[in-house]
Amino acid sequence: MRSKIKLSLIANKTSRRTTFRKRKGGITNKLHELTTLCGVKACAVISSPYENPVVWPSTEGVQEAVSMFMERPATEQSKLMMSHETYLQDKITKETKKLESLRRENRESQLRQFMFDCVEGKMSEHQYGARDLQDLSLYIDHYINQLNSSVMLLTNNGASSSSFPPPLHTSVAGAGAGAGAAPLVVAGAGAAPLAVAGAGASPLAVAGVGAAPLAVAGAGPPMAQNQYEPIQPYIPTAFSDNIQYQAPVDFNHQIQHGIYDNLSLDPNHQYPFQDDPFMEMLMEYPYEQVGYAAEHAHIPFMNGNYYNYHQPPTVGLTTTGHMPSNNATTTTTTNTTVV
Amino acid sequence: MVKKTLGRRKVEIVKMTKESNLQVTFSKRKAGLFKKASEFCTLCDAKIAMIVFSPAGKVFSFGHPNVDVLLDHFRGCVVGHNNTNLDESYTKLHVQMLNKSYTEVKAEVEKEQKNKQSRAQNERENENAEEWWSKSPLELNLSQSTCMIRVLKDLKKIVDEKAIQLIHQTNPNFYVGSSSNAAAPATVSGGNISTNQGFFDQNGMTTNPTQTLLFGFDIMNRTPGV
Repeated sequence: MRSKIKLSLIANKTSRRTTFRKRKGGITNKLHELTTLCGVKACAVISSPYENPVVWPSTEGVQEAVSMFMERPATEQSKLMMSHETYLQDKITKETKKLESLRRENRESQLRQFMFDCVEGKMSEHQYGARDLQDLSLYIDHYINQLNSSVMLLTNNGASSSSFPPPLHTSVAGAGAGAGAAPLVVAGAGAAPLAVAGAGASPLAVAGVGAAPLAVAGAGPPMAQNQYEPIQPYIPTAFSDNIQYQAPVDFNHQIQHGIYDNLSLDPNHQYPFQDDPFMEMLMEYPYEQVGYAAEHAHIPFMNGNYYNYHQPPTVGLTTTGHMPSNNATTTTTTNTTVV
Repeated sequence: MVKKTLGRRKVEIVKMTKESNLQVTFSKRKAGLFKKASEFCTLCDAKIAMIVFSPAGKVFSFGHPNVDVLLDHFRGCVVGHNNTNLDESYTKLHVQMLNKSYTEVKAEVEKEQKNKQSRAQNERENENAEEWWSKSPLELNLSQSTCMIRVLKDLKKIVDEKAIQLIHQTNPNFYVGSSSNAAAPATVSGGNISTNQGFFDQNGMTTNPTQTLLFGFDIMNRTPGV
């Protein structure tokens, strides 16, 4: 492998003279090739402390080229004239621009990786300073803008929000448990999961993502076509005589007051959110917290939804003052189909 | 794997017939010739002057220390400079410095290119294991994009909060947006945080001047905003 030559004057006189002789031959050879291949005129004058000035191609050739050069206007002569200094400055400028471009690309690549690692809960694997976090914040903004443009494009093209293939069979949850006992989950058109309220249950309006909006069981007016987030009911957490509903979580409050109480610059210091994937943390309260689209985006670590449709938890509603009672005498199991 | 280039081949030294090829060849060979001449001057302390006419009729010239001195010398003119030696020694020194700068920049470029290549290689290796959210925004469908926006907005809140916390830790006397601060602290300059204990290099992305600056700083006068 060839070694790199340090660009400075060769200290050893003998080596310098040898290099001079060899390189002089190389330059004249290159000039000859250039003039022959491109059919152009060229000349060179090389002088050194070791020997008389060398002219190429010949004294007459140089004089001819010089006279042609001098005939040109002064502006044209100086326009593309380079001294060794200007040549080097020009090269440095070009290389600096190239370096800036490469650094920007590499930095963006780093930030992209950092961003996805944060999303996947690998933030603790990195050491970072405030500058890195600020850059990351700017990069997230930039990335969100790209995503927004993409969403606009998809919306204008009338793309469906769900790209999953339609399920092979219609899944009905808790059909035998009696009317109103459990909501029926039916996969609707365009593979958009539709939760249809069971007979006798409180009315609920649900619109399939990308599908035509449906008003189910006497609900209010259908949702707008581009509104992708249906109204989500609160799911009861404890079933007793007094049904308790889970309160919506103030996520921002949680960020400001819970997570950062014990901040440390030590990279080994563990923060509550570092080991769990970020998305999992977001999905902790999927019904209150995250919209319809996020539920169906099929992120394995987000909500464990490995199916092509969304299945809300099957809830056995006991007789309460809030919910219609299951009267065994009037119960009829209906097979609901969505057209 | 298909070769990207034809590699080194023996070129027949005869005039090229194709005009476009000829122009490209001229540009490349001229650049190579001037580079060789530059190295030659630096390594051997030689003086050189070159004049090359392009196929389009333009004239290019290269000279060390410059073209005029050598042309005048060749034509037998005596240039009346009393301090020629002084000029020459200054030029030599300047060229030496420029060569040093050029070598450093070139080394940095190579380093960054290696980084880029290693990143690209890692990405190629992890391509199969790549999850959907790692794809380009244009490759995501509507639900994925919507989900990603939601997730990133929340991540941004966390990141901003954490950045402020880090600044407070590195400079506890700095109060955000306080008018009592006479001048910007050393750790912050015009809203750009320069404290960095991170693994990223300092020559990172510059802050967009149109971006809303954090921490109440005015980019023009670099004093904390009230």
